[in-house]
Amino acid sequence: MRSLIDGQWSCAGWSVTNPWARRRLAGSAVTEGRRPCQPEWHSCLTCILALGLVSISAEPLPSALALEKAFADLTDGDWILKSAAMSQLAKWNIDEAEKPIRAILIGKEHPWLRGRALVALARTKGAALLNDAIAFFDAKHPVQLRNAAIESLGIIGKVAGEATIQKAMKDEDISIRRTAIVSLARLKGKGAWDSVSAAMEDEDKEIVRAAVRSLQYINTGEARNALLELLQHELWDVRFEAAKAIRAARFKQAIQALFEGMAKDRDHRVKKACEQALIEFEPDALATPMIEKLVGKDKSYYSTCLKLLQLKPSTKGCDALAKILKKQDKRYQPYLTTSFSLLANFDPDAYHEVFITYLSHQDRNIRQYAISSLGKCKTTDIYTPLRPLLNDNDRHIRHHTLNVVRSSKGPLPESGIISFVAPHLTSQDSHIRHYTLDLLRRHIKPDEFEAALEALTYMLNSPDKNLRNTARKILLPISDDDGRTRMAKAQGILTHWMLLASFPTPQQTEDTEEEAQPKTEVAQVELPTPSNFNFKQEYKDTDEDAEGDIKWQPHTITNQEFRVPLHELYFPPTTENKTAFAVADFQSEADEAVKLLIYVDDSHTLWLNGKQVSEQKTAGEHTVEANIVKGSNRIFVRVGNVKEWWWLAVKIASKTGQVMESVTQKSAR
Amino acid sequence: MNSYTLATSFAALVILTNPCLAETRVRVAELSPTAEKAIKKGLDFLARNQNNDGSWESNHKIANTALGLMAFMVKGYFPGRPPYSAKLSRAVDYLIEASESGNGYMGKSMYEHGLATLALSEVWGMSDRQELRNVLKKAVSVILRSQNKQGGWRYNPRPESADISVTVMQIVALASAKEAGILVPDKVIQNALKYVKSLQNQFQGGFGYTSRRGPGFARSAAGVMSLLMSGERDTRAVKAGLYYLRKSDESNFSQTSHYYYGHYYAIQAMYQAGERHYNEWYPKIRDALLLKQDSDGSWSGGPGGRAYSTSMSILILGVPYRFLPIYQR
Repeated sequence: MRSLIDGQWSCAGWSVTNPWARRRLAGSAVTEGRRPCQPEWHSCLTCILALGLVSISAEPLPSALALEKAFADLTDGDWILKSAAMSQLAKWNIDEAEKPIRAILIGKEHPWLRGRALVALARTKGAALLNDAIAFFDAKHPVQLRNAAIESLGIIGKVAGEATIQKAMKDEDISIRRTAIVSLARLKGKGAWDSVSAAMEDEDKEIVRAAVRSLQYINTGEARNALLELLQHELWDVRFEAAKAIRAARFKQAIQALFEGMAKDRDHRVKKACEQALIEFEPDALATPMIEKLVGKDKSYYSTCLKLLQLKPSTKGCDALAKILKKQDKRYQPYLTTSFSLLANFDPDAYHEVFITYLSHQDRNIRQYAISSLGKCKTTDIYTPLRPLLNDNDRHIRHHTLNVVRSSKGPLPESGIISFVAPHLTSQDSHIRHYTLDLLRRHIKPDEFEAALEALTYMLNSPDKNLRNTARKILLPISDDDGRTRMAKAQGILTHWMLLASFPTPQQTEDTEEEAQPKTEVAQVELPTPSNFNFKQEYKDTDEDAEGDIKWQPHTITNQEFRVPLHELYFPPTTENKTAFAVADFQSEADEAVKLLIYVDDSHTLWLNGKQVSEQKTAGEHTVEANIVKGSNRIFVRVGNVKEWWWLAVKIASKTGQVMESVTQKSAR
Repeated sequence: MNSYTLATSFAALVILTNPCLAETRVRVAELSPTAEKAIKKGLDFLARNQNNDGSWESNHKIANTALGLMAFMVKGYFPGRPPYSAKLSRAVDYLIEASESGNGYMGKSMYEHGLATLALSEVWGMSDRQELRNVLKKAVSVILRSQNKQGGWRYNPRPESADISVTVMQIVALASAKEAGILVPDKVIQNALKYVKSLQNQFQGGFGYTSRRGPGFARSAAGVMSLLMSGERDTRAVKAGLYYLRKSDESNFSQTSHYYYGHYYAIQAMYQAGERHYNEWYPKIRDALLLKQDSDGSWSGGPGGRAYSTSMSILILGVPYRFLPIYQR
């Protein structure tokens, strides 16, 4: 008998959180002189078992919440809740429940509820309740209570109760007679066969049902044969009771008959009872009869077989199913999708060859299921078999394939994700493009940068800003400084610059030559200046925080914005009201008309090969058309800053906005 | 080791082995006789106004005690060495008791806890009290557990939000504890510095309180100091931060928000940044502080009372002494 006061409930921390249990633990320990133990779970359980306090066959220990609810229902619930609570507490074998249950039994509750209390006590107290049960069968008690008394005698199972049960067999109330048949069978087992078989011939259908139910307690060869025969009975409820009785008795000889019942009985309730009886058996016990039916020609068994295999999957059963499916027999076609799901849920990697077999099936639905099932593999390469499906004629299949690959948790292709997606990045189907890019974003690795850049260059080249941004999002997380420089180049952005900064920006004047002018030694640096721009020889930097001489310094674009970050490079000292100069040399294979896209913050003046081609006082993106020459070209920019952001980027594109492969740039000096 | 450092180290060694020489041998160029006199008067004030339990003031007692302790140590007075031995030992006792009653957490905020951890770390190297090690380990443990995901700390010892002020306090405490031999994972400091840098305004160089916006003098001083103390020297972040401080209004030397707190960090930042910065900065703050000292030797105006202002002023004025490891380059 389980006892709260022995402390096993505290193992689960219950006594700490549950005030009810705390009271009982503390109170009982004091009054009975026992110390509530709170040991670790295993040691406590060992202790309880050693003391014989808990029967091995008892139900698992309930949770603290379930126990608390059961006790609450016992006092505050309605009939149904009280009944359920008593039944549950009896199953858990809680001896503290005896007192409140007994209070219901002798109280003024409805006789039915009192009867359930008697049955609950019979379960926990056993023989100790024998006399009470006999006494409650007295005629002075309501029929519900008397009925429960007979049921209790069956549960108690003591010979001393047989006379009362035999008396009940002749009771004028049919419900009592019905209960008496079952109780007699529980009490006497095979000794009740004659009474039960006689009851099976009774005119009253309810008596017959009770007799059928009681066969589970007899469970002899005769009784089992009777149950198998009863599965063919003309009355559905008899067949139903037989199936239930077989479920309780659980003997293997019944599998075939239950299988028949599940597949072919004309009543769905009987079918369900047969199914529930079948799933009580071990999977391997079901596999052989199931395979026999599955390979047979009677199709009416197929769906039953698959359902059973789904409920009780086994390697033996699934292997057999896989073998059948590999043959691609047309008669199994209606069951293919169910079969795929079944195999994929059981062990997708073990049956991947089955799925692959059907990837080229003409039925789109079957192809789709085969793809989904293959997608569940965790160790198998799914990319290779699925690759051809990206070119499937059916666009839904193509999309589905990519969706499955995207959600796959299996290994990536050995050759890298790029090789898988690259052919489809330029697909005409926008969904395919979208999905392949997403796949790339998820699985791309730094060592694939080279290949990814090559594959995505068309996007970086694109006049479409969204495409460029998508490519950037994929590439930037796996790029290093050199990678970002190459990404900038791929977008036609000039990456190598010589910079000279920073100079105070004087008041705006008409004469730009006087605006910002470096020191003498700076002017001597061998960099040809635009014809209309001359450094003033006597320039002197007045900023006391400027450190060292101002010199031309090379800069290569490596940041994620692909621009020259002057506000970072020349701060401190202040970058407010400052001017910087930038030179970029590049080569062209021919004389060409181009577009210069100038992204700048704040103002700029730009000279191409010594000729001013652009001037703006405000920050933003500016486009100018210009002509470059075959051979070496030079861009010279002056960038002014008012405050905060101060940067520059120049892109060279064809007149149609495309990046020009004929334009190249070497490192700055 | 250059000759300057060698000389300083030698001077410190002589003084530490012979405490009677503490006041006579150390003569650092920047420390004028007037400043030295002011420090002495300030220490006398602190000595006179220490509570019987070893603490200072009635509010923010942990922070004031930590600062008071460090004010004496900045001039080479440590517990166990006359003439303030008993007073400083009582101050250390007070902090140890606070640690025991708070299960490692000292004071009512992480400000106080950080300061107390710093003071005890500085004491630890000069003390033979073995229990200090456990106190320090517990104090560091509280700090480590309280670092939030961004890498910073806030008022409560929980990994919740963060601000630059409390964060720098913990960085300094951790750096000092690490110097004292307590295990502090590098990653913790790195993450904290990353958080501090995330608050630097990219255009002005100063540091904001909980974001880049609104950089201020005191928090910028704290930010730059934490970077410099952690070994950054010629980085853009440090250059920009120093630039911000040096370009800040001259009136900051006479009055600014969080005056003592800001200058406590600023002078250390300038000292760490090198002689050019330090020589430019120290005379200005020294002269400003001398003008602010009251006749009883105390300073006032800080949020923690006269003990706070006085201790902070001594810590600022006393940087040339270089007795505290935390003040050394």
